[in-house]
Amino acid sequence: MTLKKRTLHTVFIAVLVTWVVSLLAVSPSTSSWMTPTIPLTINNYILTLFVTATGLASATSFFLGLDQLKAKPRE
Amino acid sequence: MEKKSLIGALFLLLSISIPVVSAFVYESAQQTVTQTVVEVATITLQNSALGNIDEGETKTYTKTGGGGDVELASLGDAISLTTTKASVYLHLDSDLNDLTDYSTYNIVVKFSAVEGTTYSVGETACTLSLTSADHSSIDLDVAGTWAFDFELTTTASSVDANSPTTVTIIVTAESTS
Repeated sequence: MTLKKRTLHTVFIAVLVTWVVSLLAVSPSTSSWMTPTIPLTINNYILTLFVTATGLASATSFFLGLDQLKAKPRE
Repeated sequence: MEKKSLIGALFLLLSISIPVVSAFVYESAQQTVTQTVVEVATITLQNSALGNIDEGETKTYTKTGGGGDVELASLGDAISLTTTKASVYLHLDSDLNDLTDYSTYNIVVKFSAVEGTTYSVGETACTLSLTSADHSSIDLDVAGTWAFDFELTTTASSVDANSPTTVTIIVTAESTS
């Protein structure tokens, strides 16, 4: 695996983990696990992180997918 | 299909799935944020948890017991919530009026954690009874953490295996915009 690919994989895993964590933070169903908060508010920083992580995770996954599809089969 | 093509297809599928899931969760979150009435809790009081009661006997259940009262720890902090703004109204709706075999079934709701100075810990917030099964609102006038204990007083007028054995209390919170 080349350095570029390894970096892309590392970035993908990092952003995917961030996305999952921010998804849980934003999700109303996880808020029901805790003491109810009325009215429910979502922190702007978490929302920004969630949107950014969504974009980055989707983009890196897309590029990794394309990379795998373009790779030449072994002889 | 070659292994690499399969992995590539899975990555592409994931790249589509991530925004779809995010959009769904974001939409659900927005709906929840804009809700002014939220169900805080559904509390079920089962008679089996209250122990035996004889006809005509009156029993009082509290979280700590003592003084002839029956101790029932689950009555402590039966409702707890955090408010992020002032003037959130708590509504309690019960099916107490469906109970036919009790001459008394009072549920006293007391503050166990308060914010501000309007209320004090131990003060009665409201009482639900056979004739007044619902309570319109408790005004939580300051943002913060609130909790409520229950105290039950029951008198069984008759003991029948077919009589309803549970009381359900639905607690909703209304925030004014």
